[in-house]
Amino acid sequence: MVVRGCENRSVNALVVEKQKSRENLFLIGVPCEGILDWHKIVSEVGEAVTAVKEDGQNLMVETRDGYQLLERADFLHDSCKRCIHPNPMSADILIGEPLPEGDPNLARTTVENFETQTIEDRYAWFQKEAERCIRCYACRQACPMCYCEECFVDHIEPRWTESGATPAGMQGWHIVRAFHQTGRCTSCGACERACPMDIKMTYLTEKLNHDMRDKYNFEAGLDAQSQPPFAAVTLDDKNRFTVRGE
Amino acid sequence: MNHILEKHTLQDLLQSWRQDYDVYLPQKMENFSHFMPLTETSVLVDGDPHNTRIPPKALFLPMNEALVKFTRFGGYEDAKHEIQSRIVFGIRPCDAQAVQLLDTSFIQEDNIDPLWSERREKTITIGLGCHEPCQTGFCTTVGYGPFDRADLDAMLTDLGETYLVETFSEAGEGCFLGLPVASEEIYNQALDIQRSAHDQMPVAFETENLKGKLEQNFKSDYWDTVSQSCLGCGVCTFLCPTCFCFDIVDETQRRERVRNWDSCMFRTYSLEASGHNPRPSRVERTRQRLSHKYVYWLDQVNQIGCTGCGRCVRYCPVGLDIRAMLRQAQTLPFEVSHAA
Amino acid sequence: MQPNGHSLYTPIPMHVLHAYYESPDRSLKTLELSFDHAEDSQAFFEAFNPGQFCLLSVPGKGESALGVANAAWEGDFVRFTAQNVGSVTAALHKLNAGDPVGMRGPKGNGFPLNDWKGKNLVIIGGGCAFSTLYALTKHVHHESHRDDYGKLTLIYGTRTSGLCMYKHDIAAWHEDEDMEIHQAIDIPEDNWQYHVGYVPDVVKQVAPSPENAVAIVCGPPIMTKFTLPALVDLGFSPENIFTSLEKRMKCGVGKCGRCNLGPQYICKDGPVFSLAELNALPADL
Ligand code: SF4
Ligand code: SF4
Ligand code: SF4
Ligand code: SF4
Ligand code: SF4
Ligand code: FES
Repeated sequence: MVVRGCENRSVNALVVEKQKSRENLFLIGVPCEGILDWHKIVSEVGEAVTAVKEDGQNLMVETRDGYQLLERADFLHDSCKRCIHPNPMSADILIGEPLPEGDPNLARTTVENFETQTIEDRYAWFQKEAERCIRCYACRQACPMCYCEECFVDHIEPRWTESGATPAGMQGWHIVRAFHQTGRCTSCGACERACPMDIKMTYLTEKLNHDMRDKYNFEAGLDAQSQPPFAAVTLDDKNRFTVRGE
Repeated sequence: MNHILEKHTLQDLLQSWRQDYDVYLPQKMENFSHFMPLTETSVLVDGDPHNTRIPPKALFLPMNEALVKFTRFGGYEDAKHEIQSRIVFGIRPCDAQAVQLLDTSFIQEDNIDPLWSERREKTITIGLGCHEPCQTGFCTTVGYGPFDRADLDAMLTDLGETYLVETFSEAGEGCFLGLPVASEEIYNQALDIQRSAHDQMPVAFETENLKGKLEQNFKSDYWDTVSQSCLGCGVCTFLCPTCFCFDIVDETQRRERVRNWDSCMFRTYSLEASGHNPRPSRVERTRQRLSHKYVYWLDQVNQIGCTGCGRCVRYCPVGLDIRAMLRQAQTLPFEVSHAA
Repeated sequence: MQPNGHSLYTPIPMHVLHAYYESPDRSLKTLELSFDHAEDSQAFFEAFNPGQFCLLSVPGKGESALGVANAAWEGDFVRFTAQNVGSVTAALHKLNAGDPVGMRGPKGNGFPLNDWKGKNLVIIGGGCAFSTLYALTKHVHHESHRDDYGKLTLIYGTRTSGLCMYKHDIAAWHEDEDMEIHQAIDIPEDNWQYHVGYVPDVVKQVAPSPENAVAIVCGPPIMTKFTLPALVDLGFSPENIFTSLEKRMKCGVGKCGRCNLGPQYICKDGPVFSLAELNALPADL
């Protein structure tokens, strides 16, 4: 497998969850400069794009009427812009020179900016994003950590959330999908990239990732052994939630 | 009849319709256009991409709607829907064709979907032809075109400062009463634009023998090849203007039986209670999607069930391109003798 | 729109007249339903043809497609036998006499009885899919239709003798000179006097004559898969072999797309197809 930073983390997380066996994989690592977001290019240049060529830090965009030169870094996916670990950390071989680590403050400030909004504003944002959803499940299908044979939304008895593209159904889907990623999301941004409705759903998972870093000093997929905090049970857990009355 | 509509008077005209109709037109939503009800401040989005992201089929077959209401003591009644008279303005020809194709499924003699048909009856559709080719569309390749009338009530051709309005029905004519009649000269100018738009559309693939090739190679590993990277999501079918599959689900809390859009690309679509799945992987599911559009629709109504709107090409998260898939299908072996 | 003016998705109200288990293991339950409204009954029997199915509905659970297991002459009721396999059938199993239940139907084409007039019928069934064949046999065997058809041969296999449905009639048919009946079970049992073995093998053993005959096969997919070629080997032409297909269904009226097999919808264009028709359709089952 050829892996970038986020993909290497996803492989690690899947190994932790016993979905993959590391011995059966040979990882060829490639330090990643980020994926381009065609939506961003098209909204800058217009629909007439016929080809895009990469040239170092620049993009040569060919249109029906000529060429345009863009700065590559401006047209990355949001998840790539705030990526902390672009280098594969446990590849069997690495191709190319490692890149400098990303700035963790970018992810932090995204979450913090959101947190400083009023509860009403946050709810309005949540509604606007969630209720645009058409429940095509491209985000789930693209997510490296969504591998359930039967997703909770497909479960019939009991039914966990309304089945359709109704406000309750869409909100239920967005909340529970994010919750299921607590300590598991590897910040790859695949969900957001896949969404046909341009829903920026990582504001939810990034908040959870932020809490995991802050409260548990944990990031998913950094190695192939550490259990996500919510999946690891130890005898000296502070909250002994398995014991009644404590 | 043919009329001339000054662009700067469009807004007034749209607003005047609101007295008697709910008016829908493509408006900006986030980064894309979406059919939304007209308000005082609505602005028509008519740039490229020509198409709204969610196809107008959603105006006739909503993503989610109640079919049946459960009454007390185990009874049932029809779910009630207030369906208003509407004008849908700015449908592109490929989408208008798609709605007409779907009529053949929803409105059959003695077998009529009541909600679809009532919405169709109460809706006046006004098309907006495409004077410039769109990026991923290929309407002419599949036998349609950027100025096809389908069964639109009226259609507009963009002439710069004005639109030529062609009306095809009484209801369509009623919307444009009182507008000046277009001169022969202007009409001919519009026809030139329409013809040139048609000619500018690229030929994305050849359709000759395509149906036969797909049919005869039902078991070919071609399907394996073209579906390799498919995620099995619902994007290409939910956004497709001609996909109509729906699921029926009981919503216990709402005491309703509802329908939701469904997709043959989903694993659960064909999964049976016994655990048997006739289409166990993306290979069979991709085959179903393509065959439905390029084989079965032809068997049923002798028209290709893809109107070339280009949405699936544009929004597939892994870049699977139906045009490329069908170009590749053209290289499959084909025996003419079978075809008869 | 249905004859009663309701949308085609709205079930008609019925009540359970009789409910009883068919098998000692209680995996099969038969429900006989009566119509709440006489006009629904009239509309039903005007349209009904053996081989058709209905969608039985339980609010909150959904609908399940079940073959109609009675002939029209039996009276003003509709009979179904449900195997307890999913959430809807589990709910149906909980119903007792007097309970309300919703129904949509009859759906589908049913058996082409008119085309079969004057022919010998070889009826081959397995498991609970036998229900529509039971309806067919009851119809054909009735004195008012019996003269329309030639010789009647019935081959019916179940896993165990307990799982044999409609035991009362089956026992009577064994005594009936007018009918040749071959019953089979998969696994040997004490005191069993008929065939032991799988239906395709029993068909080969019995070797019904293809002369002026049609064969009708309804059973689990695996049985059908091996019985159809066995009949071809016996000399039945594909035009004279019929089967009833099953696929996941939702709307039952050719709208939701779910049950498609190539350009056909099993709920509307089927469920009964000849082997000749099936051979022309994609192998998508
Ligand atoms: S990809 Fe987007 S539209 Fe599709 S289910 Fe996910 S959030 Fe909703
Ligand atoms: S495919 Fe054709 S009709 Fe559709 S938007 Fe593009 S040019 Fe217009
Ligand atoms: S949109 Fe693309 S990835 Fe999703 S199901 Fe369709 S072909 Fe597969
Ligand atoms: S198959 Fe693709 S191009 Fe064709 S009508 Fe559907 S979405 Fe448009
Ligand atoms: S079967 Fe698939 S391709 Fe055909 S209408 Fe349904 S979702 Fe679309
Ligand atoms: S069950 Fe809906 S089309 Fe057959």
